[in-house]
Amino acid sequence: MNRKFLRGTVAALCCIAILGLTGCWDSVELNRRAVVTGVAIDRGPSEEEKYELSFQVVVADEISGKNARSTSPVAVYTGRGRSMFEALANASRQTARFLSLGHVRVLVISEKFGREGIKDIMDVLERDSETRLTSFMFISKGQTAKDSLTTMTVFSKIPANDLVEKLETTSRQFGYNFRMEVDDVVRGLQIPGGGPLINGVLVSGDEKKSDTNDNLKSIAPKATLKVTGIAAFKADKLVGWLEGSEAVGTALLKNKISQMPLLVKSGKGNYVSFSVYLSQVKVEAEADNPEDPLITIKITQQAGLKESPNNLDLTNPKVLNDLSKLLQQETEKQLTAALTAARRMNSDFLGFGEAVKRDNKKGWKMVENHWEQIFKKCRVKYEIDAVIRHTDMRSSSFQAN
Amino acid sequence: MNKGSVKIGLFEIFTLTLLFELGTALVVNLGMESGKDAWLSILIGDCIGLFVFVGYAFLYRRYPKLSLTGYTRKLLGKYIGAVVAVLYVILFMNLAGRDLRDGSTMLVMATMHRTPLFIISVLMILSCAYVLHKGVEVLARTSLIFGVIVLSIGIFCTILLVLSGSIDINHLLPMLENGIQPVLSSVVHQNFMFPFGEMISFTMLMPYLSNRKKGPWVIGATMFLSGLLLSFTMALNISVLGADIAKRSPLPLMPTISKISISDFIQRVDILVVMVLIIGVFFKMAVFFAAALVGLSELFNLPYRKMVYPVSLIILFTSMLDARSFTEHLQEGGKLLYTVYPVFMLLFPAILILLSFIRGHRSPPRSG
Amino acid sequence: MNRNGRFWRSSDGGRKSPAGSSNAGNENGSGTSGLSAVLDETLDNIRNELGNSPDLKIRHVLLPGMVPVKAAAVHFSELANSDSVNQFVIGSLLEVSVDNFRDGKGGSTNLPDYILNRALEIGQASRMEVWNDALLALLSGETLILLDGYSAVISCETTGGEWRAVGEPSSQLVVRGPKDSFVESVATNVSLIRRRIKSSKLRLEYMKIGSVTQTYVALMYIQDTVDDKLLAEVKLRLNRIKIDAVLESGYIEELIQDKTFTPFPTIYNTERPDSAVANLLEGRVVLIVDGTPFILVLPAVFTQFFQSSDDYAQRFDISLLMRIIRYISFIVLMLGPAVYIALTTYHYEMIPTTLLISLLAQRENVPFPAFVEALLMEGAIEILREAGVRMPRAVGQTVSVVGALILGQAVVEAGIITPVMVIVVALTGIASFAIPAYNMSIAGRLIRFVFLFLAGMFGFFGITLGMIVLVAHMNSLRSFGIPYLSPIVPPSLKSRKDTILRLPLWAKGASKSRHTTRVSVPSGKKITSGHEENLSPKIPEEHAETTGPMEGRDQHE
Repeated sequence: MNRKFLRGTVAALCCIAILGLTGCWDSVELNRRAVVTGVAIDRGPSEEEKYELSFQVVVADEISGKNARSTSPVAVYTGRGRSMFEALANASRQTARFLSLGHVRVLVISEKFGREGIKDIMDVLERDSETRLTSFMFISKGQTAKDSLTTMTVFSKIPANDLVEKLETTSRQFGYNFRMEVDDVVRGLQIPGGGPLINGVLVSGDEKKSDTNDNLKSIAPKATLKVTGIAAFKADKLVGWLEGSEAVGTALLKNKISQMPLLVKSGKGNYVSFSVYLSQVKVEAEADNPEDPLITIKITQQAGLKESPNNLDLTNPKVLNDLSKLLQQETEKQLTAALTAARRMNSDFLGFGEAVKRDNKKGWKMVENHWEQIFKKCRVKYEIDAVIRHTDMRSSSFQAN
Repeated sequence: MNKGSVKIGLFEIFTLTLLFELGTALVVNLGMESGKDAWLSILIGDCIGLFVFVGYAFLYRRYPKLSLTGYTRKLLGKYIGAVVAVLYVILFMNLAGRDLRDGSTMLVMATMHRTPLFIISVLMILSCAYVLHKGVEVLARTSLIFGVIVLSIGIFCTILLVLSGSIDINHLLPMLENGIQPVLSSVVHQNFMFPFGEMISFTMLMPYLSNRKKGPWVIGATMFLSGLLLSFTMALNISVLGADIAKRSPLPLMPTISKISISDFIQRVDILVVMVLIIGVFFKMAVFFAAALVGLSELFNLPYRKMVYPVSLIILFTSMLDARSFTEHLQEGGKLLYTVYPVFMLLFPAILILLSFIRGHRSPPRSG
Repeated sequence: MNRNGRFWRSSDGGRKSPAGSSNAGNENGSGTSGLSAVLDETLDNIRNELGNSPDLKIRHVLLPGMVPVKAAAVHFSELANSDSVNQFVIGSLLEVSVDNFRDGKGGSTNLPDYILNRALEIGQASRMEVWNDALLALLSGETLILLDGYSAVISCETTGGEWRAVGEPSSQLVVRGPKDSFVESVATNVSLIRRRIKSSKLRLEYMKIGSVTQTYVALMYIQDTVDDKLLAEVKLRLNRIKIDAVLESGYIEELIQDKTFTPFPTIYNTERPDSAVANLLEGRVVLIVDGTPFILVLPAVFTQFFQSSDDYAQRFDISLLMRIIRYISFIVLMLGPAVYIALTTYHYEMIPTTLLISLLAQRENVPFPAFVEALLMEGAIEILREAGVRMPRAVGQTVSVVGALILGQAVVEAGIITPVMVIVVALTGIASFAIPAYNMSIAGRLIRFVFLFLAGMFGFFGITLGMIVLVAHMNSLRSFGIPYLSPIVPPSLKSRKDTILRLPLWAKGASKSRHTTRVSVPSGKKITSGHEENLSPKIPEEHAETTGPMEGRDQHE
């Protein structure tokens, strides 16, 4: 018994020693990491330097440390290469630490690249085990992507976080944008006859001064980072921008709206404002004849009246009914705008094709190759049901008397 | 009753079966040959697997105190039986080795990029050997606790996924896009053997059951349940990621779970998937390992404990020398699944059942 | 205080020599050799045997009569109660009339019996013929009466001396519940238990263990509630003990537990009589060792170490919460630093971004890797704790304040350790105190270091594998045949009402389970083989049934 015990102990000690000697392969101390929060992908000047990647790295000491030197809270490193991976390697040569992509929250692609095609970019983004699928994708509108990562922002010391917060605010409150994550884009690339949708980002104001602390020293920042519009793609190429009601209509059709304001003109030049706080959208197709499908868009909306500076008698249900009719028309307008834009761009990013596929999977096989043509002329029916649930804290306006 | 021998209770066999079935199958892209309908092919595979298991249960009912290698020798005669039994032991070792390779490679792919495969395998097999050194009963009991842990991780993650709103049922539609053909081919190629046909290893453990009447029923029910869970998980993967991404990821559960993001606080919980993977691989391998050990000690009349470490070495080297790359390993496994394994999991048991019928007619059956 | 008297007799009246004494102490002298019919010779023998000890008091008496008989009373002045020696022993002796004996009035045929039966005013006394027994009695504080002309001696129960009074327990404190605690004297401890169970079923047996110390060990159980197999096994293991000295119940614990190579305690110890009584009522066996207030309760399963006696004094919902907190704190204790290491050095992507940034900032100028940091801090806290235990009570408070607060503060200020690490370590330190049983919390502290290494080398992979091995190890443990994780694995729903959880007493079965369900050894388990039992891998042949149980031990040894 004793000998056995001894033998066991010796064996265990050997194992521990061996394991201890060989070391800890995957362990990286936090202070050996450069945590990247945003990546900008620009089109380099030549094929040799096709990818120009800029990494926004957090300087943690500056954000919450005791030894802040009142320098910039983030630093941007740029690397170029023939592939994304090479560009990453070139960029990390400039940093003293491991570029860690586990916390990338924002991926910005320049519009130039977007117009050229993004499918080569997406591979590494979804393949890498460190990057997250929940990073938000953006297209920088008309600027280099790097610009949007080098703008000092007011509310979050890290511009990438600021961008994320802005996106969440606009998508939650106004519905002009919606969350577009990496896997959404990958799936979007595979929509037959369509393409992904990616939010736009723009630095407005004085871009030159945007990247220093000076940007924040005045009450009105010289340059601000804005989420703007939605970039629509055909396959992997950017074909146009959706703004205003086109964007809202698209978000509606994608069923991504949680809340949005909606204005209705009530006759005499003034507007009644609503807050639509629930929109349930269903896109269905009747495609017994796949060459001539009927797309039905069913929307159920609930809204609260927010502003009514006029003499409408809001205690009368009939008036509210009329208003909700107007609301329905307004929604239909938005939807039509989105559809028109999609047809103009010749891209079925709205996913009508998938609806047809769901309805008639055999028929879909026949039209798959020329779906663009059908999409341009297919019949669309709207079934909109909008209800005004309440008028907030007052009934009629004081102007009604 | 056999006083003093190992006993596995009903709860324990429930969780052991559950962990065995979920094992690696939970995290890999099971049945993705059939695209969106993977969940369907899993269900069909489950039903076929249950049917096959009825055969095993029949043999168990006939010889409740014998393991597979035991009644093989009884039915096929001393020499042929011994040869077949040895083949089974080799099969179990091979399965354990393949499982080890699966598990450690997936770990390397998922999180431990720089850690050598060998070290991970050594650690896994060492802890497995320790547990089996303590006995099959300890293994079964340990499975009870980890079964509960895996199930609660599953429930937790499902709730979080629903809360973070990443599930889109439309990704599962339309059903049977390309007809039933791919589903069936996936069933034939994969699903009825993996993981359900692998239940053959339980024939080695069933003699330890404490409740001979209910035991097989519990195992069967658990097989069905785990089929449902696997199918549900696959449906979850597809509805979150879409069929295309799920098909292309070797471990679709990880990206699925990584989509969980609740107000920036709970994020990237995919490490939970890694834990489930480790637990699953561990128990699956341990069951094969145990099956091989029981078979060996029975065949050669050797003490069980002395066999643990040599066998673990064999398994370790099987797994390391199995293939050069994971892709090669998977392809090889895919071939084995519909060429070699059915021989052991279907053909031999079928022959045994036939033989036992003939014997049963010739002489009055012995009651257990 | 002097009620301590008659200790080993109060149980079964008669003066049977305790079961353990027969094999003990045969080395120092043989048989009756020391006792001689000549008084002076015997006295010399005693003096020599005890090395002329100055505290050995010999009082010579001449029993009056026609032919006076020389007699002597021998006792240890520090062990015996001098009042009773003077009053009852010497006093009675002086009144003995040898003539009455000669006249046959006493009805006894020899003098010692006569004195025993007619003269002694002391409550407990007996006649002894064996040298060793007599010496042992003397060493236990009794007074020996030697008579010239007779080799038999009379031993009188005069045990006294100083003992600590019953006080409050020092280790297992409760908010609500009895405040008394066991003390070092077996007799007092037995009385504390007897007072709580006024049942004729309560049984007490004495043994003497330790060839030099001859320590009394009291074995208590409740007849009919206790499992006979368990009882037999306990006695067997106690009898098998071969040791010179037993100074604490820990000696016994180590010698009778099932498996020695484990950090987990498989025998429960307590200094609370109420806890001991509750365990007795559940069919457990209690061992009281003379000289220590910590009594042993066996068998003990894992969940038992998380129960505190005020669980039953509180409302069930509150105690339920408390129990859950104790289990959580055990997990925190084992895994806290390990998970922190794994998270920061392996899976940093799981940490919420904002938290990660503040961690990054903290780590910026810290010289050590997180693993070394954790090891240093955990080591420091262990030193502090150990120092706190040894420290004189007067300075203890100050030093722990200095240690915990100032050291922690200074270490962070100096930038040697990150503040988060201090938080994590402090949390595990506090968690270790939330576990009611000290020996379980030590186990947790030990295992914590193993997990720390695993996490440092393999991240969550190491932790997960470690957990599997840990649970398997716990499953392989048995305490006197009972699986260590017993009500959880193998599951038994009935007893789980009061082990993991604590359901209200009125819940069906719960009240029963606390005090009347029996701890029973699973049938078919041979207790002795303990954890090795579950190893028998060999499936018996169909007709091998009759050959009886297989034991793993037979196969590998």
